[in-house]
Amino acid sequence: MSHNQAFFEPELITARVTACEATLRTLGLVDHTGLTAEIVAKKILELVGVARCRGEGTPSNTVKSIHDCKSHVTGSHFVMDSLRIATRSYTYLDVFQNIEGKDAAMSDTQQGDWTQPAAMAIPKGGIFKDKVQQGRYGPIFPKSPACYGFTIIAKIIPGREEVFYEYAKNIEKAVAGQPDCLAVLKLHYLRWVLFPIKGETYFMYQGIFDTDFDKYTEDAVALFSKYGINTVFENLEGFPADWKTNAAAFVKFVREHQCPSFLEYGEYPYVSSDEIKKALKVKAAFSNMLDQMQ
Amino acid sequence: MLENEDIQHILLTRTPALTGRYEFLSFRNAAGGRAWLSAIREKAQSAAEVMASVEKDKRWVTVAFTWNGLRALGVDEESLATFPEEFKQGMVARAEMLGDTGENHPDNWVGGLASPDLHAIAILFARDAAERARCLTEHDQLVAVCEGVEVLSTLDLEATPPFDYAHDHFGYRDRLSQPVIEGTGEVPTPGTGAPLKAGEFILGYPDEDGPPANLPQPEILSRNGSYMAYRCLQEHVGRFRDFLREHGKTHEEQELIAAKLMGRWRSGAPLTLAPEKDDPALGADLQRNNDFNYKEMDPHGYAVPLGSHMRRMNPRDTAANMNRRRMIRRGATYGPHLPEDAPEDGVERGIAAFVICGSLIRQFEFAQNVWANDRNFHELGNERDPIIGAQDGTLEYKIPKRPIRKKITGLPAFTTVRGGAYFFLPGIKALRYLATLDEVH
Repeated sequence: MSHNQAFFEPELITARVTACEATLRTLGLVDHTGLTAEIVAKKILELVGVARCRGEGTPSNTVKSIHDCKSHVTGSHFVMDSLRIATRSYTYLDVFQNIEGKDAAMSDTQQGDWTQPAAMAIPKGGIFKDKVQQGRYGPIFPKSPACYGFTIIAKIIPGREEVFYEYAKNIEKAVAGQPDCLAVLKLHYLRWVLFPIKGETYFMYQGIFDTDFDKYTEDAVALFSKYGINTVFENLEGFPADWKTNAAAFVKFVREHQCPSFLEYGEYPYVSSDEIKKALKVKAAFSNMLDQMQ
Repeated sequence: MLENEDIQHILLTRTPALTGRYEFLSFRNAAGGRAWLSAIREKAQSAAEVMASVEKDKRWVTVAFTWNGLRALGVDEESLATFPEEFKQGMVARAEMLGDTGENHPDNWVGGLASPDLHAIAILFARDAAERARCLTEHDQLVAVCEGVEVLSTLDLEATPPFDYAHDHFGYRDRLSQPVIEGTGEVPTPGTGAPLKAGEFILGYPDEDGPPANLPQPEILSRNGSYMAYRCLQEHVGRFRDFLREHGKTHEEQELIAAKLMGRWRSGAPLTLAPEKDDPALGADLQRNNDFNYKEMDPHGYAVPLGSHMRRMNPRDTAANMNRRRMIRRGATYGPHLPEDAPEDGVERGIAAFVICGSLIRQFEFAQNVWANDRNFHELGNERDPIIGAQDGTLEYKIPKRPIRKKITGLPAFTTVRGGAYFFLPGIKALRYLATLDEVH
């Protein structure tokens, strides 16, 4: 595989490898006038060292030589905050399309700018009355700068604490054995907490994920039995005995015990788990590439 | 074993019909409705009957009811309450979640389908137009003598030429990927997946998750029954062809754009197996045209775009619990064929189809809500299904391509929902039970 192909690794392309503004500046392309896709492509390729493979010269108004280019890359912008690479306003591909004059839409990032931390105050009940979205099992709690999530709080059946600690070990084993076992839920984090109120033990199950829970309810139910997550829920007061065959009853329990947030905050708002993983992959790929160029 | 003699034929068989008609009915009184059902149930063939005589039969009849329709026939409240919530609510109440907004909203539906007075559908598939004419005269006579039975609307079905293979008005070959039910003896074509437990489609049998649960009561009413989501989709053929011309300079480029929207060339050949050039022989070969996956063969969508219709409606090995999301599709096209070189004539044409499944919420509604209309399916950000998704001209469609993807912005709506409903498709014995409800009580 030539360097040229390596740069266009499918993963990099679909991960929306970007020539973000900073990169364009690095390339000396602040002024877009008169640019063609070809020029930009050539400059990017030069910058990462592949012009060598193409045997083409370097336009004089940018970095002067492959050598300069390499030191430039190593020193600065390419191996930087990988989120910047993956989710900056201009995706690599959009830059090309914009220059071709097709459009300047930046739809992929319409949900918000990850560089601007954001907070959202949420009304009582957890739902904005004027923009309620309906899911298959009822109204959907809104997406916030901290993505989607739930906080389920329920009383445990007295004397069952030990079951919860056993269960924790089982989940640990399940995930170690099959790391993608919960992938379908599009999770960021899950937290399981036990805490006392007036001598009784309560259970809190808090999740942050990238899709409204309504969408993958049945998949969640299937995971519950597959990985024994049910054991913990079956030790909660009021959990429906027929949960396995009755997704609606399961959803009802979850909704009745859901305590919606009244405020949520995101340091990098609206960024999905997949985006983060892709960005880290891009970062790893660039690091690897630079190693190969030594 | 499947009780083929008690299952309405539409669930298990395809009939060689080139024409047909749907009649949408309302029952102003229960006795009239039952009288109609008593007569028509004699015509409704079971799967066993059709399997035995399909070669000589000239027409095939199916009947099904909305939840309001079951009530109108006299089913008691206790029994009505045992049906699933989404079926009780009906398709109109589920509109927003299904993506039936804007032009697709039930307010714009035709034929009385959005009305709570829609009680039943009689589906006629006929071998030819003469047989259809004979049947509808007969049906008119039946309706005339059943007090309080009113025909809300009708829809005539017409296959579109050429007639030697099934396809829609856009020209896409159809009926290529259908699940196979365990116990039918049918052998799945390569790539279709193993036969699925009957309960995924027929009530009263174990499903992929275990024994049947939460069936509507009494058992005689639900056994061997199923649910049908009806969708009438107008196809904007002129708009579709204009779009292809706008995005493809040559005939080949236009065909490629059409293929990229669907995931298959119009011949039926899947892009996974024929990524560069159409292969009509492959498209027509059932032993080959469904034999592919996505995870290994096309993880990034360079062949079949991640957001294409085919990939959304059946993500194969890239979705969890696929065996619990499969659906049986039946139906037909309606309206006149628009010749290839003719401009849009403004005449309505489209697809009037049924999605048959054991659970509307888990199968049909999931496909509609999550696969067709989730803008962020496969992290696409700003897309919906290019063929059946809720399109309002503001979304885009991305076609992965090396080195640079093609992004189409402002994708137009190629289809508009003109009507829809949730029907319960009773078994043959259940039809008799419903027709004789007055004797039961």
